[in-house]
Amino acid sequence: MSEAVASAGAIHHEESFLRKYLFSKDHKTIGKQYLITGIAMAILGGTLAILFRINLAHPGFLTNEQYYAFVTYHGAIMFFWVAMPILLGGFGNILIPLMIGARDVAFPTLNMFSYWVFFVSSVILIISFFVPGGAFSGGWTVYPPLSADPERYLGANLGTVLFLLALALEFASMLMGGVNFITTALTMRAKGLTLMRLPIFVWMEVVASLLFLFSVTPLIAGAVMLLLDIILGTHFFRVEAGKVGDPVLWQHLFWFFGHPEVYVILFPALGILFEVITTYSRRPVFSYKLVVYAAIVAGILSFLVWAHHQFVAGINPLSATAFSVTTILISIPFSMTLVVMGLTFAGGSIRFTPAMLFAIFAFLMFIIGGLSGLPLGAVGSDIYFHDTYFVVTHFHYTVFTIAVLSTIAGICHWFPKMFGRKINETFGKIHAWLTFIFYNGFAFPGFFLGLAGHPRRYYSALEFGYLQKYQWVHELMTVSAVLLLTTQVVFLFVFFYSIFAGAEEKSPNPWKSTTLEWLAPSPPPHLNWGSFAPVVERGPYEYARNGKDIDYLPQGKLVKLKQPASSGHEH
Amino acid sequence: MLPEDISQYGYLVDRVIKLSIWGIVIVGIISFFIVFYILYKFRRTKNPFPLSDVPSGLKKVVVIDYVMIIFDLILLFVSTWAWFFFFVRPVEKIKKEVQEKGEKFVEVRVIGRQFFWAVEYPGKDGVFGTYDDFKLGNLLVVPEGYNVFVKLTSGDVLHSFFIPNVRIKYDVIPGRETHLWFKPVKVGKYEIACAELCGAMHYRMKGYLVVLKEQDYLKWLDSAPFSEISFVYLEGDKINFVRGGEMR
Repeated sequence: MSEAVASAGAIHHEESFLRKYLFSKDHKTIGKQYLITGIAMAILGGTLAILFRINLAHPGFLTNEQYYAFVTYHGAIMFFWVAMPILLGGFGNILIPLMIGARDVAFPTLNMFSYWVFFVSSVILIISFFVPGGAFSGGWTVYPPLSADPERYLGANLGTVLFLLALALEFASMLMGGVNFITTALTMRAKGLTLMRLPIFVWMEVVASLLFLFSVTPLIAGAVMLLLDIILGTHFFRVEAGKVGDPVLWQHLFWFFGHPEVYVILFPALGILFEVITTYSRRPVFSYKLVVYAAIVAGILSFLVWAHHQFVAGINPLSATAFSVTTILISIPFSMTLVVMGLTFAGGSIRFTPAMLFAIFAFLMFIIGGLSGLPLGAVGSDIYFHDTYFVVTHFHYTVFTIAVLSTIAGICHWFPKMFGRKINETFGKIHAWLTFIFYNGFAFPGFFLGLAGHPRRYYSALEFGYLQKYQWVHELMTVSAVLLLTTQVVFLFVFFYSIFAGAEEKSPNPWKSTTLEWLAPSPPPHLNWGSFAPVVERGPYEYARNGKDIDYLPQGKLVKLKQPASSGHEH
Repeated sequence: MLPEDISQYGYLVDRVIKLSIWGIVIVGIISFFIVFYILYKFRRTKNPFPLSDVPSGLKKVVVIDYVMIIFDLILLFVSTWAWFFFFVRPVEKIKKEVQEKGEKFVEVRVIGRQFFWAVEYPGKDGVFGTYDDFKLGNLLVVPEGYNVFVKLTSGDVLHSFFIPNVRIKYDVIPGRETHLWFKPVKVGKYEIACAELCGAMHYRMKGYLVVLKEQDYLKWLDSAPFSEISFVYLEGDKINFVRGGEMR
């Protein structure tokens, strides 16, 4: 029915349809655009993964050129075109203004522009896959000289240039979004909403945006140098007799960005988990301050650990020791955060809703992901584990948890707020369990491959005698991966079906949650609060306060405005 | 899971691997156990209303943080020990120490190329740049019980020289020279892998480390008239051009 309404609107009010659904300045619509685009790219990235995963079980399914191109695009897509747009562009846009009681973000036009830049970057990325000469296949880390001299090494000149261009646009888009988030969260908070009353999700988005802002600059400089190497034949990273560039320089520039980048997507995911876990366990965060300070400390430390990606890459061995110390050090704020998360369940009255199941599984996976970082951060064992499947498995346990488990927890949690409808709960629970089982079936055996010394990015394990006996592990992983993707595709059908035809959610606050976004109607209208304005009276997680009937206190209340709201906060 | 360690000092790396893996397995299992306990105990059907505070017994879980810090410190110590032993000490110093101990050593150069390892030997005189130098493709032949010093460089892109059986890996970088050192103590044929993406045939960039008994090695060296890069691969357990040297 609503489809018919939408299409009728498209016929009779062409322009208003464009304004409302395409070139909207409404933070919620932009957020949904990011979300949907991110999901579309996730289908692409997931399909690529399945294809090369099948090849690992049955070498010869793809050519080796295809295999390396798919691996490269899978990594880049999942990081930059799925995790970032969904967690920052999607959840950040939809939730930050609602959670702080604002009517929109600080710069709505910039916000719209950021989405369309992102959209163009996605299109360019997809085009780069099909250009003559082939897709770029030098790994998502784009290490030169392999990437700097494509004519000599890969024959993918145009593909590489377009790949870098798409990356640059994506960064520009996320920078615009980040500036928006920081400004919005710092200047447009509702009355009474002090910094230490901000929901943890908002804190996490702000810290993530700051990290991105500070870390991306060197990489942009590096990318320009790399483009010059490719197009003009300079020698920043290329090495030829007499003209000696330094490929290791790129690794420094890349990982100086690359490590904070991991936290750029990790922090919003942790924020989502805290919102979900507090709501469904009916308990406040065990230590709000510790989580906030740990995020800030880890954020600062994340600028001092980058070279742990290069322990055996030719950097000064003594400095590798120093980076090993900072890397092990950074595990401390995160282990504290996870302990706080675990204790947030304690004493609660836990409801195992789909969102909560995903949050619990994400929490468990973060424990595995975090712990498995230690053998890699310790430089002595990294000699052996560097560039093996142990690394691959470690970062899948973190990044998959971020980009899929935490994201779906967030989607299930805020779905009624975003669309005013419900997703079937029984389906959600089955989906959560299947995802958990298939994911571990796919990922966990990777630790054993790592221990066996299986280097990553191998088209086939059959070339090496010491790896041949582990071929069955690859087969097991592939079967699980196919099942995992199938489960997610079914979920996406249910997701889109529920947007248009799910049962209507009448209550604005179905989960009895405390934060401000639950005061707004579902879905919130343009400018969110109508003729009301939220006023904040207390902290964000006032659960378990008087025990019995009303076990929570909303963070604030809506106050009727004397005069109707103006057209928002255009600056 | 770990491949057989055939080097004198590989145990230093293994020690870090075992310590870190056992540490995280134990901490992980304990954490999972605590989480399952909490989730089970405070499920809604059992506990319809949340408690106003976390039970004091459970607050002690914070101890995990301190356990992690102590574990981190021990791990750092053991790990840094191994790292200093292999890579932080200058090669010249290691050579000197080795000579003082009365141990023998050989030197080779390895040049990584798409997609093979060119191994340069100094020949019988042990000095590079003389008439008896020779090169082999994908074959690193060394005597058992000798210290092996490898100078690494690349002729094109990044590679990474990885011998799982001696627990050593280091990147091979164009325009730079990097070093490895290991001491094989078991005769046999082992694989050398490339661990850094170097192009479409990265997964086939395979070399062999062949460890021979000292007398076999010397005989092999006598009969090695190779002066150009030779792409001879091993067939089965035999090096097909070896004269006099018997592989066991």
